[in-house]
Amino acid sequence: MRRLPVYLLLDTSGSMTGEPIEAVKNGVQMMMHSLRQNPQAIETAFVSIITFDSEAKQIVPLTDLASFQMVDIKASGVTSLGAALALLADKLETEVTMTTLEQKGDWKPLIFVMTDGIPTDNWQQGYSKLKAVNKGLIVGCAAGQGADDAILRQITNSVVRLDSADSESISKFFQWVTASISTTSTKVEESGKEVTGLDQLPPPPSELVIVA
Amino acid sequence: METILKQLLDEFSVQQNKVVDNTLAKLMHNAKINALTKDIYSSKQQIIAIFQMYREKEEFKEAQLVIPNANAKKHYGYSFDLAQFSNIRIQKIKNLDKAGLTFDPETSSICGVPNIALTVDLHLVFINTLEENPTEDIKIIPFIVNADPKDLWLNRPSNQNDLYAKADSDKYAGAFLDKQIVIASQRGRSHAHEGSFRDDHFYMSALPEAWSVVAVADGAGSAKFSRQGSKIATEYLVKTFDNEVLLHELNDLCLAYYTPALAEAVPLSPKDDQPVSEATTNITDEPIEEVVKAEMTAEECSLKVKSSIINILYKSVRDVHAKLVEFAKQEDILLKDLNTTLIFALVKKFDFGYVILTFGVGDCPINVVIGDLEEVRLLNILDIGEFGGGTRFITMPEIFSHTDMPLRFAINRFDDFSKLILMTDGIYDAKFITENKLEDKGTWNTFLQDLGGQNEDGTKVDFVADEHIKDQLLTWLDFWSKGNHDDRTLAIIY
Repeated sequence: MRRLPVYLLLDTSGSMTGEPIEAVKNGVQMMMHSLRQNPQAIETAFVSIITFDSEAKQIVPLTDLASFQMVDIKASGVTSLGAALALLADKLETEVTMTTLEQKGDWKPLIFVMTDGIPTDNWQQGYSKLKAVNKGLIVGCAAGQGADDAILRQITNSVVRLDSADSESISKFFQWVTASISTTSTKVEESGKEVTGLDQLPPPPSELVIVA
Repeated sequence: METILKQLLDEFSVQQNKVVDNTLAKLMHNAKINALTKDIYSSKQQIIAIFQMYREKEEFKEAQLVIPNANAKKHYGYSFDLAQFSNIRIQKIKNLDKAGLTFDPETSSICGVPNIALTVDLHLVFINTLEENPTEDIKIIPFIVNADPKDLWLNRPSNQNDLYAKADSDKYAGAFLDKQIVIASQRGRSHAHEGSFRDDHFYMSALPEAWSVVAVADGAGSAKFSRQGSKIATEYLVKTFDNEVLLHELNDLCLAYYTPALAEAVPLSPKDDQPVSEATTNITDEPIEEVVKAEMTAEECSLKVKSSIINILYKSVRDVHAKLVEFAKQEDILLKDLNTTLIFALVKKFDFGYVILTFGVGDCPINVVIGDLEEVRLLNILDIGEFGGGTRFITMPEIFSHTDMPLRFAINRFDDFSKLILMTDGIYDAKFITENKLEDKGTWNTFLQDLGGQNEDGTKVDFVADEHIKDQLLTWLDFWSKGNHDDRTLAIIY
């Protein structure tokens, strides 16, 4: 069974306190609810959540949609994006299966990185570790005015921007992530082709501006 | 007692002095005071006990209690671990009946078979057993019952008014040489869900000179009109062999190859050495070039015959490619919109056995089973990508110039065989999973038993009493395999 690994890297730094963090929690819940209705996604997509504030933590390991249970998240601390990228690199190595003679491996992972700030650690170090192992598509999302999409653009060619980190915009972002996972799970199942860029994902809603 | 008295004096702001100290000393032995102090102590104990009781309830309410998600139509069992809350007893769980599950308060466990998918907040009604007159409290836990994946798939008919419309399934049974053939092709669930077309196709035909051919193609899911690509590839391939002169030549070459004593009598086709001008000039006409020497050893001669056979097959395959190029041009569509894999087996029974000529591009296998699984062989090489999803198509010009092109063809001879099987990856992914299992007798044994009815649904393909075999095979193709919902085509010569 070839899985479509989906990693959500979510910024849970102090600036996300209040409305944004609640919107993120809701967004993940709605996303899981919606994906569970999709027969292809429920069989193919596996989701993991990595949060980053003063440190990076994998709060949900790579889990199938049927077993997935959301863990409570709280906002505090700074923005250790580099640590999150490094942790992602570790998890890609241990959780994603490569194709061997014995088994067909997983599909290339789909990675969404959402941040509302500027990294406070050495993000380049985490990024170079990630670059060495990652074969999947990374989509960056700069949420709100405080986010620096210039750094995300150095990490990936696929970057979207949310002008505001309010609950409305964050909810739209998660709807788009949901549609992207649905589309990709259908696409890999039907054509065996993996997505390589933003142009192959569903068109984002007007709240999301493609910046790269 | 002294501590309690001192605390009391503090509480009543009685300043400490000599008189107070003397009073205290006297009261230390007062029976009445002694009894009252004991009462106070006991009251405090009672209050703290009540506090603890209520605190345990509040703690239970706040505790992160995760209960695993259930799946519709599958048995569910879960026991609450209340070790941390030894005095808490869950009396009942409201809303659980909505999921079709029951709760046993004696064992604190949920069980049953949920009938439908839903997301519900369970209300755990609980008490603290230490309470004299227990009051019920409620803890809320979200609970998810996942749908049965089979119920999530829709079956929408494809639009038969669309361009290059194709039936959602197809089947065939009939003679193949002195054997029988059954073929069935079923649209995959993923296509049925979207109401899109079946992209697989098959075609077979008896040919002149007692040859027969069967071709199977799997149109690429990513290509817009691959349903037409697979149709053209199979039908046109068969057509290229419907040529008496060509098959006669093939007869002679096969005889020469397998009965070398006659080799000298066989003229090697001079046509093979001449470039044929075609629309697809970028494609090389001669994949296998042998230097013709004045005098050939037996081995060289055999090699020459072999390359002549392969060149004949090669030309057919190249003609199929040219036909697809022409069709794309004529319809003003892109060649890659027709992307399709192709496998075929061209077979004839000679005095010295069955000669099976095969070709494959893509990831569909051709297998031959000898006797009662005494031997099973994969007759073609499969194109399989490193990270999955990397296949090759007959529509790709580059396959013709690639050095591995000759390896795509194979010439085999068998005294007899019990089954010759061609399948698309819709079958192979689900039943064989990896390439290296395609020559594994154990896996084949399971597969043949599966065809024989040893499966979840009890669907059987009867190769002996075979009057309904094509319907049986089509029904069998509907098997459930998690994650494998591609079109399925299976051709079996038996």
